[in-house]
Amino acid sequence: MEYLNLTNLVLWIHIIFVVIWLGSDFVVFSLSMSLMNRNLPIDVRLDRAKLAQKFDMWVTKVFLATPFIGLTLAWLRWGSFEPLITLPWMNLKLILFSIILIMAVLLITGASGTVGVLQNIKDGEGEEEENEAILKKRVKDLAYPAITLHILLSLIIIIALVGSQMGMDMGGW
Amino acid sequence: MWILKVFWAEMILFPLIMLYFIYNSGTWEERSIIQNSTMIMYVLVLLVAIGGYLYVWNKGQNKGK
Repeated sequence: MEYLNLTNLVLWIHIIFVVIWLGSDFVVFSLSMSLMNRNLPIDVRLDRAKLAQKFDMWVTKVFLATPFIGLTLAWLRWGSFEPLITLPWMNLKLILFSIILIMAVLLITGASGTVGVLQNIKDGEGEEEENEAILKKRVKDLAYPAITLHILLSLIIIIALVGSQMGMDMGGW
Repeated sequence: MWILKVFWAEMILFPLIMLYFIYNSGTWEERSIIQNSTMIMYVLVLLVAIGGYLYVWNKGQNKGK
């Protein structure tokens, strides 16, 4: 029964949110990569782009909630935010998370417009080859920050798992 | 879209909160290399977020013309 407390509940919400974030982001990533497949009918590609856009909204919501749940968790666990700065493993997590934030800004600033390009291909507006090239460039340009984000998030998960197993003096669980 | 407004607000707010925590943890010399690196990174996040917001805002203004 000792295990059933608010801190552990928030910890599990934090873990579940990170899992949903990483999992949904993989779905958006693979849907986006499949948009370049010209063997697929244009309606299927357009549907996938719209689906990726909808999924991405959920990814954004979970991504935005995660750091504040993390701050709540820190407060519940330590009764102060100081360990976020004093514990080396938390510091490392924060550094990696700062790069994730930069990648998120890059993704958000370049994300819109994919559906529009596919709609142009479907409607026959403009040169088809030119539109396909625009689409390919857009998807590839966004793939780099997306992959970086996935790798960093995986590293953060590993650091959190290792850090939380350290002794109580190191802020372990 | 409201979620994008929340996104930009958080991209500015979260680094500010982190910078506040780090700034209050001691002087530059008192802090470890990793703590000072965290501070530099969050200054960078803040600058990128402001730049990103201005870029999107400017794009929206040009679209409206």
